[in-house]
Order: sequence, then C-alpha cells, then structure tokens
Amino acid sequence: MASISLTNVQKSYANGNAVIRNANLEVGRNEFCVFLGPSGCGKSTLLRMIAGLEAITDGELRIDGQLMNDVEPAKRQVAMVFQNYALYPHMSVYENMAFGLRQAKVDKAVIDKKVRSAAAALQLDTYLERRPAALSGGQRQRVAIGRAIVREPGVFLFDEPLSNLDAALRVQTRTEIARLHREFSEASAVYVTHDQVEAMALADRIVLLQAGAHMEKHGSVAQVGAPLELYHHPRSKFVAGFIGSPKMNFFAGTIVDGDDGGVVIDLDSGERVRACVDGSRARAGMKVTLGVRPEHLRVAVDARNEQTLASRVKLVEHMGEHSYIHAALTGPGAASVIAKVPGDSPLTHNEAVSLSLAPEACHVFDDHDLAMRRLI
Amino acid sequence: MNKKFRFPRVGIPLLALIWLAVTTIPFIFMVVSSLKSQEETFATSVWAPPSQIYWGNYAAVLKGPFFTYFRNSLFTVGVSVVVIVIVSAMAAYVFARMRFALNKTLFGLVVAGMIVPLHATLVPIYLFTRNLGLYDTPFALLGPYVALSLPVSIFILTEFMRQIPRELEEAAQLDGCSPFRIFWRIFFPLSGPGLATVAIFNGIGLWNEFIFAYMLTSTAEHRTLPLAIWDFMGQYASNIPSMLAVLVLTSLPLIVAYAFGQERVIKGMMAGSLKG
Amino acid sequence: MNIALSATPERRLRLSSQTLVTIVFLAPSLLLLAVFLLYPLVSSLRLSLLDWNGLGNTARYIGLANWAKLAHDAVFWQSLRNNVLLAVASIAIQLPIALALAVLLEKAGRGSRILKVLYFLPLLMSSVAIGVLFKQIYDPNFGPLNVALQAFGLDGLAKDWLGDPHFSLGATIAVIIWQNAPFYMILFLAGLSSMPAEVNEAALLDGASEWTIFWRIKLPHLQGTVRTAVLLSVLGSLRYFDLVFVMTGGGPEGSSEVMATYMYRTVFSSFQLGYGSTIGSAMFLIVITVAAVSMYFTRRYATEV
Repeated sequence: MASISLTNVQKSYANGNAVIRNANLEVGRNEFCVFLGPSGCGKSTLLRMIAGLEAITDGELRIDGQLMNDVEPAKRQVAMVFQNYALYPHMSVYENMAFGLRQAKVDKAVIDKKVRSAAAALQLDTYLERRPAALSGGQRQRVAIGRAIVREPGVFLFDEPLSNLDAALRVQTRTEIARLHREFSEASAVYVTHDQVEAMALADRIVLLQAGAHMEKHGSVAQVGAPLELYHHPRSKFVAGFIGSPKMNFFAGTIVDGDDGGVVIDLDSGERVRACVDGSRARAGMKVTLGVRPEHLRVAVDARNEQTLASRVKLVEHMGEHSYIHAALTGPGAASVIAKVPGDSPLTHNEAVSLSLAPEACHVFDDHDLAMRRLI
Repeated sequence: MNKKFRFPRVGIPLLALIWLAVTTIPFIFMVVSSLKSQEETFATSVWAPPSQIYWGNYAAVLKGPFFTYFRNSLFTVGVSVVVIVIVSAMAAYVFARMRFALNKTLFGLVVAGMIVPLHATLVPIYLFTRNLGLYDTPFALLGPYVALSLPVSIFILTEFMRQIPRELEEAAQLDGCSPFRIFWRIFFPLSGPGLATVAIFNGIGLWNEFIFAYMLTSTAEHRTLPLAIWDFMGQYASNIPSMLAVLVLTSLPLIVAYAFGQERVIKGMMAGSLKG
Repeated sequence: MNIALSATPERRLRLSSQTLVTIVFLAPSLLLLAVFLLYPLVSSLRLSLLDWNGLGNTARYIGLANWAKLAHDAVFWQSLRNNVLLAVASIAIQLPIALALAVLLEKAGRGSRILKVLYFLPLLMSSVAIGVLFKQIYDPNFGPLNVALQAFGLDGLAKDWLGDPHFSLGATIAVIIWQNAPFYMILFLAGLSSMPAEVNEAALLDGASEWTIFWRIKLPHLQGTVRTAVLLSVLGSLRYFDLVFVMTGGGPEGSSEVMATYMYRTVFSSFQLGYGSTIGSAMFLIVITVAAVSMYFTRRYATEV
C-alpha cells in the first residue's frame, strides 16, 4: 500500500483561482519524493494539504490507506520541517524536540532516550539546553529536523528547508538529510524545493509541478519519475526546459518526414537534422521544437559526417573544468544556443563555430509541446 | 537670515530646560513644603526651605487610616490587573488567530469601546452596583475596572499576537496540540512583553482612577488611595503641609515602582497609546 | 459558523475544538463588556427618558422632554464650549510642546535618559493629587505662583486663578496640559524612533540643515502619529473630568464647567438621574460622532502607528 496517495486532488480559493488541478500521485514507503517546480506551481500548497494545514477543495488524500481530507493536523502522524525552522523560541533545544512527544503523553524516560539519541545523530548533544536564539542557522535547521525525527512519523514533510542556508551549509545539510532518511526504513518523505540540483541529488522520484497555462491544460503534475528518467525522457517541453542546468536549447522547425524509426526536421535556421524519436505521430509540415542539451553539443570535428549547426560565439564562460559557449545561430532567426565544451577550448568571442549534435541526443516536441518518444 | 536656523539650536534646549523646571518645581514644592511644620508654613515664605525637617505631618497622616486605603488599592488593582491580563489574552488569541465570520466585526466593536466616555455608563453602573448590594464593598470596583480596561488591552494584545509567526502555530499543530494547548504553551508565554505592557498600562491607570472609586465606595474601609486625598481634604483643610504630606504619600508607591523599571513603564504607556 | 453533520467523526471533532476555544475564550470578555459597557450605555438612553431622583419608584416617563431641555440648556452648551476650548488648547499648545520635547530627546541620545524619566513624573500622580497640589500652587494669597510673581514685581499678574471666572478655565487647562504633555511626548518619541537612521544620514549627506530635516523628513514620517495624537487629544478633551472636578468643580459660575462635571453635578448634587443620563448619553453620541467623522476625514494620514 502506498504511504501517501492523492487522487484527483484540486485546490482553489474562494475567488475561484485554481492552484492545484488534477493531482494524481503516490508516494511509496521509504520513498524520498521531491515536489519540484517554478514558483506559483503549488508545490508548498500540496505539501501543506498533506499536512492538513490547507484544505483540500476536491479529491482524496489517503495516508496509509486512510482517508485524511478532514482529519486535524494534530492527528495525522506527520512531521514537518519548515523553511523558517519554526522553533519555539522560549523553549530549549531539548524542549523543542520533546514537545511533540509530550503532547502524545509518552513516558518521560522514553522521551529522554529518544531526544538524546536524535540529538546525537544530529550532533546537537552539546546544545540541548540552549535556546534557538543562541544557535546558528544550520544548527536551528538541525533542531527542526531533530524535532521531526523524534516523533518517528510515517511521513516526513520538508518545506524548502535549505533555502535559508548559505551555499556550503546547504550541501552539507542536504547530505545529512539523505543519510538520515536512509536510516529510517519505513518512513516516506516528501520534500519541496525549487532548486532542481537539490531535487536531482535527493530524490528517489521527482514530481514536477507546473503552473499557468500548462496547469490549466494538463493538470498540475507535469511528470513523475526518477531524476534520470525526467532528464533523459522528459514528457513535455516544460519538463525538458526545467530539468537540467543550463537549460536545454530549443530550436523551432518543421517536420519534413517521419516514421517510427526517426524524423527529419527543417529548422527555421536552415539546417536539416535527423532525430532518433518515434515519429509515428509526425506529419509533414507539422511545427515542432527540436531540443538538445548544452552538454550534448560538441564542436564539430568532421563537418561532413556529422549534422551541425552554424553559429557565432557571443560569450564564453570559463568554469574551470569546462566552459559554456553562448552563441547565436548564423541562420535566419539567429536563435541563441549554449554549448558545454572542455575547459581548455580555445574558442573566443565572435569566432565562427560549428556545433554538432547526434541524432540520438535530440529531443523533439510536437505542436502541443509534448515529447515524441526517444528511441534510446 | 540666520535667525531662522539658530532658533532650533537655541530654542529647543531652552524649552527643554523650561519644561524641566515646569515639571519638577511642583514636585519639589510639594515635598519641601510637606516637611515644614504648620506654624512655619504660615510664618515664612512659601519658597523658603524648612529650617529643620519636620516629620510630624507624615507621622500624623500615617497614624490614620492611610494604610487601609493603601491595602484597598493593592487588592483592587492587583486582582483587576491579573484578571485583565488573562481575560484579554484569551480574547486576543481568538481575534488574532481564529478564523470565523464575526471576527472583524466583534473586534471592531470591542476596540470602539476605547472611545466610550465613562460618564455615559456612570449612572447605570452606580444603580446596579447599589441594587446588587455591592455598593461600598471590596468587590464594587472589580467589575467596572476590568471591563473598562478590556478594549485597550485586547487591542494591544491582539496586535502583539498577530506578530507571532503562523509557522509556530502550525508546528505546534503538527506536534499534536489542541487550540487550547497552543494558547497556553505557545501564545501566552511568547506574549510576555505584551502582557507586561498591558499589566503596567492598566496598573498605573487603575491605581490613579478616581471617579468610579469615588462613586462606588463611601467608607474609608473600602476606599482606594486616590480617595484618601479627597477624604483627608476636610480634615486637613487648613493644615497645608499635612495635606501635602498626604499627596506625597499617595504618589510615592507608583514613583517607587517607577524607579525600579522606568523603561518598562514608559514602554507600557507608549503601547497603550498606539491606536490605529 | 457552519457546523454541518458529516460522515466522518473527525470532521465534527475538528470544527468542535476550534469553535469551543473561540466561544470559551471570548465569553468572559464579551460578557464583561456587555454588562459594564453595553448595558449601561443602553440603560443610560432609557433613563434619559425618565424624570427620576434616584430614590424608590418615583420615576416618571417623560419621553424626549429631557432632550428638548438639553437643547436649550445654556449651561450644557457652555460646558461643551469649554470642552472644545480644551481640545483646541490641547492641539495648539500641548502637542507642539510634546513634539518639541520628543525631537529634543531623540537627538540628545544618551543624556536624554534622565530627562525622559523626569518628564514622565506627572503621569504617575493621580489626578486628585495633581488637582489638590495645584490648588495650593494657585492659591491667590499663599500659593507659590503668586508669591513668586509678586517677588518679581509682577503684582498685576497675580490673579485669583481658580476663583476668577476669567481665568479658571485657562488655569485648569494649563494643569491638564502639564499632566498630559508627557504622554504625547512619549507617543511622538515612539514615532520618531521608528524612523530608520539611514534616512537621516542620507539627508545630512545631501546637505540638509536640521530644520529642513525636521520639516521635510521627520514630520511627514510622523503623519500617522500626529493623526493619532490629534484624535486622542480631541476625544480625551471631550471626555475630560478629573482635574476640573477636583480643582474648580466646574465653577465659578460655570466658567470651567465641562460636560462630564455638569453631568456629575446633575446626578449626584441635584439628584436628577433622568436629566443627568441625558447629558451622559449626549456625551456618548457626541464623542462617537466626532470620532467617526475625524477618523474618516483623516484616514489619508493613517499609518501603522
């Protein structure tokens, strides 16, 4: 049985604005599930609906099979780690962590054992008597995590817990969260973030949420899958553009020909390229978008045997081990393109460069922005 | 040309000094004159300091029922303030945090109570205090004192509780707390400064309150400190230094309390004045 | 509040605990306010329709006769006029003084602490104490004020402050200002200290003089506070009672009578509970109207404080 299941969940406000549409998803036991998406897509709202802090307008929420739509947060057996920690300022670290257990009327000796063992796991044992005001941001976040762990809930909820930390601390705490989750074999976790690097690093599965016109047409959930699945097989242009940094390059074009073995596309910039996707839905003349990730573009070595795009370098970003070439296609439309090249590449500003793209590296999105299935 | 710009530099410190004199001279006069004997008061100039400090006035006043008045003030104001703090905190919690249809309306009405002139309520309160047999008892003042302090107290505390982050409340909910627990374990403790403000602001106001005390009590046995002055006026009508001694003695408790926590007290009065 | 019956027991539970707390927590306050505020206000209106001396069942229903009497009561209108004069004096004299003191204290920084403590003292004395004290100070023969004036050769200025109808109101107002200015000083101080220091510093770097900074930066920032102060002053002046009662009792010849003292005398000296309640209710209506109107017309200046 799934730990959490949402069936056709909707949320709209009294004025009619819909925030969540048709959310269908399941989170299994011990699964680390990340809700990812741009701001306004409702990921925090969805999380809070699972916690019971926001009402569900329509649809069903079940936790461990029980219908939970109208159950009070206090009774749902979920624990949450807030973005702003939400520590009780007038209580010590020990008290903060013990509070939930006290409400559940757990025996004092048991509380003491659990709090101390969680504190030890989070390296907080020397801080147990301190007040939150006397702790650093990272320590406070660990107390917030400890407060959740101590209750041994069936579900952990994280609401962008790392966004208030500095970069180095973020990476460190992220790995701690992953480590702690592995140690809790039964509990599932739902983690909200807008940072796709975090999502890729932590998630067993990602739920990518969308807003605006996309949501109106296709529902709130853009795609659900393992990180690499979303990376290699994005179902829509939105997913392809959101996952991966820097963003995937998109080029407008028209279908020349296609079948279930591949398609041929005339790009608006003039080149004709082949892509290894299932073209059974393709019709000649269909307007499509070709997508290729910066890391899959190469500087052409042998222009005759590769398919290439002619471009001119506008900017080079040296990142050390690699560099990013920002270029513009020389054909009509002057579409911009980013390519990732080795760090010792000699390319400079205004230099002409041919970028080669393998048919296997191409993504094709039809006239509804839906992906054609890749054949690899 | 420069006169306009010199004025603030000279004028304001001058004003400050003048006002300092204006403020303190009456106090100084009061204290100094209370330390003269009655004969000396009539014999020498009002501005002359006493030839020797005479404590007789104070002794005479303190022999009287002074401490009864003091005790009554302590009881009345003490009990009132405690009740005010608790009752207004409870109401503030609801207004600040609970979502229900009448919230804004009720809050508006309660806060509007701050404007009501007390005199419009005098006669009916006098009448039913008398009819209920509470007239001139230790309990006569408690009801009016608490009730009439509620609007401003609820106003202050609601503002205060609104500042408490919603996330704390949510964390407590997820930790399994009922709304009552959330109030008692989270909101009430965290409102410490606000509660102190309410206690001080009302404490000072009620300690010096006159008209209701005057109207609802009649015997020294039950009257509060401000009434001591009124009651002693007849007795000391011609004994000016003794009268002044009474003034000093009745003002002393608050001034002593003030000496212990000026910042707190000033902040308390400040907050009471913040009306939107 | 919709407490609809539902299939799952948890739903009823959820609404219940919130509803329960709401009701239980509001009940004491609402009850107390109903008994000591709402009921008296309504009862006062009811009493205003009676002719009664407060003893036994001698009350006689006379409809709006009291109100008609009020409309033609010269003493009442005189007292209202005095309330208005008090309000004007408060705004024109008390507030500028308080503002000037607040500006000074804010700039003086550390040294201001002792000043602030001393300025605050008048607020700690009860009105009765202040009233009796100043009655002494104003004493025409032995009061320090007149003695000092005579010592400086200003015999002409040594008036019978409280006993002369020409001066009684002014002398009383002076004491009221003495008592209440510190309160407004603290209010303005709070408003000033909420202004970020950087704004002041930026202005100094821009070459502005202190005077300019005061008029162009600090004062506009204080808009909301000034509005609050004016409202509190006006409303306080309309309701004022204590010092007038103690120092002059409203006399001599009604020269310092205010609505509250007039009401008090009518009820407790003349034993006209019906007419007294009329005055009280009239006060209430006047205050509410003035409050509503002033808040409405000055809402443009409202800020957080």
